[in-house]
Amino acid sequence: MRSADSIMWTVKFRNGNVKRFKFPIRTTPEGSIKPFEGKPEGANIDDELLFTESALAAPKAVLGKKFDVAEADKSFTCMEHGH
Amino acid sequence: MPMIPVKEATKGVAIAEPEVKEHAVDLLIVGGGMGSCGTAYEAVRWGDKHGLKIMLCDKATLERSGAVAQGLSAINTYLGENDADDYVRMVRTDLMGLVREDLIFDVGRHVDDSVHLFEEWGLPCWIKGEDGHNLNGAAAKAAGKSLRNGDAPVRSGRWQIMINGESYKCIVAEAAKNALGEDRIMERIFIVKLLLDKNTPNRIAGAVGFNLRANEVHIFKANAIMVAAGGAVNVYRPRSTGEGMGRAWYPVWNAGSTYTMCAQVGAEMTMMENRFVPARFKDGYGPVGAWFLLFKAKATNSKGEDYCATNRAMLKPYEDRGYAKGHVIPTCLRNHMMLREMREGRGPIYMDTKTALLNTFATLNEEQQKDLESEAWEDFLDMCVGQANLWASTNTAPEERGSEIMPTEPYLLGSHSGCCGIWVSGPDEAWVPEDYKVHASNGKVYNRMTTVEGLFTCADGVGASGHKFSSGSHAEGRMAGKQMVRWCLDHKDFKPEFAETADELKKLVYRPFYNFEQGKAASTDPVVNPNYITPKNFMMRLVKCTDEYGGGVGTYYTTSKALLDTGFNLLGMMEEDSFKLAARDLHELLRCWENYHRLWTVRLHMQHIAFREESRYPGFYYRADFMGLDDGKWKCFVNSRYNPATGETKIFKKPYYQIIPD
Repeated sequence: MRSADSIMWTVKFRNGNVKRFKFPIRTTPEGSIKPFEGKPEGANIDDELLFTESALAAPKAVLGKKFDVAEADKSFTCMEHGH
Repeated sequence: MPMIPVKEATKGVAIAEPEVKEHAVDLLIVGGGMGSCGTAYEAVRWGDKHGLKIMLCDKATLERSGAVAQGLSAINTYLGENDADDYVRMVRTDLMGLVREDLIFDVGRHVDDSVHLFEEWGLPCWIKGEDGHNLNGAAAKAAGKSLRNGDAPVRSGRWQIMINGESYKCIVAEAAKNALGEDRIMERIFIVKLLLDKNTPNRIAGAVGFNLRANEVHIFKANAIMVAAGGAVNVYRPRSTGEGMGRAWYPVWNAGSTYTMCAQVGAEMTMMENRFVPARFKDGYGPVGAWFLLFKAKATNSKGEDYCATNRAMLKPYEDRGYAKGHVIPTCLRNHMMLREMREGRGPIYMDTKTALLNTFATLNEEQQKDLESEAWEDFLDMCVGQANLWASTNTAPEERGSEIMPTEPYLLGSHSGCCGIWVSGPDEAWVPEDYKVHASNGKVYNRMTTVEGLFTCADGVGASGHKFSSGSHAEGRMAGKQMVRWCLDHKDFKPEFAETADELKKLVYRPFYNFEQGKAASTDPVVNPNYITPKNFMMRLVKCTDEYGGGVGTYYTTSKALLDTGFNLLGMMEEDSFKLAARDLHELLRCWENYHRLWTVRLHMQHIAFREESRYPGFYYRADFMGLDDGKWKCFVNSRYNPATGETKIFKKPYYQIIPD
């Protein structure tokens, strides 16, 4: 049985045993989400920051190592029809 | 007059000549799962101030669509105090070294923000209490604790946190819905094909689909399109049979639409050979993560032996080359060890839940034992009710006896422990190799854009970057959402035009209806007819072929060039037959298109497997003719590109760059 903030389960075993459980499912009222209230507008469309963020991490160390393989130009072409 | 069952009328919404409805938007979002909800949330914030027209189409309803439909008991990607650099190392190790480290780092640095939003929106997240015991999400909130404030999550593993997630999708969908508003969401609209621009080559211009509740074909013109419609399930014969047939671990409605639709318009694909074969509780497909990580259960063969210990030597060829370090064993290699047990007759394989619970019970009082038992059951009830049902119906009490685990049929997905998908651009930053960036014709780089201009993907759609899970998918959707707004602002003058007329598109989409009408008179049996094939029968042929020739469960995931070529021959005939799929109602029309998407996706998967002459993922699949791992030739991505003009698919090698040091 599911309510606005929790769910109750009854598990009936084949042998007649019954277990009951109750778990929370939501900590805010249904329908109450105001997605943008109190949130920043988003400053710069050209950077990688999401509108809620103010800082961006970069890798601590960058290797930038390309791995070469034998037969790097190997390719195969197959035909199909497609719609 | 009584009828034999097959002659009874189908029960779906009646199919008839459709009305055509045309729409024009700036930003079209195809799919309503975690990724798309993230895209919508971010795009609205950036786009509304410019009056951009946004529309989201979900073939189901937003509240419970996508992989998170039933709920989740854990969020598997939350960094907290961990670095994104280490997150990359973990994913790279698990996926046998071939990953897009830029995309993974990028997800890692944004993902926690999405998790904090989920918590704020109402998702109950467990927090460690003062006394070291677990507070469930409601108790945590009541105690004034939150992840956002830096309070400690209850971790089941280094990257995973426990939640009370039965309503996870409902909460995330509500945020997206409230951001978009009802009139910017179209539910029960199944987009089946993307459309390129008539005038500009390799430029996305729109999409076409149909309504699942009324006879309508919907054609959209768009400037930027997000395709995030999940991965592919039931592309291989599932282990489930009879009354359970079709039951799978990943959501059964994922038909490979993301991969097929993008590949068909020429998007470069990557690592389509990769697949995920999860080891889960047998038949119920219930999750094992909490049992392994939280309850510290062991998996054993029928003799009670820990096969990861007895088969350690099988890892040596991989350890010697740095592919399994210490206790970090890639998921496929765990399967690799388990499969040996099964093949050699030492199954069934068990998860020893009894020992795990009794060991933990020993240190707890009765109330704490009840709590622990509740946590164990919640793991299933939050996200896989069928497993709880299976335990109840077989009188399985985990504290009394263990349960079988089994590797499943293969799945294709990009957000979980698999990494097949579409090749996309990474962020335009100095630490990202140039080869990982896709430059648009205006010279700019748009993060998460495919090689088709204006076409974006995220979540299961993005290849070579697994282990995002639900939270990473949402974060990635957000990243792409911002970039799509940027795209629309940079391409204000674009006027999409299609080569196809509205009438041609209508006839294409409804072809299965016309096939049925034209062909039905040839037989007294509606599903056996020389003029057409039903979607169910098409699927049965497909999954039998892939199982037998493409490395399904029937061959212990083993294939070879000879087997693949036999499969391709059959798939070629299925491609011809796909033109004769027939639908007797709107539900069957859905299934016709889904199964066509399945065909394309699994064929591409097999084509990539054929090209990669090594066994990169032992435990997920084996090339019997190339059993070893061959870094000298294959430490690279395998990519492919379909040419819409010629119908040819070219498969090729693409270099791998290591960004994060070991």
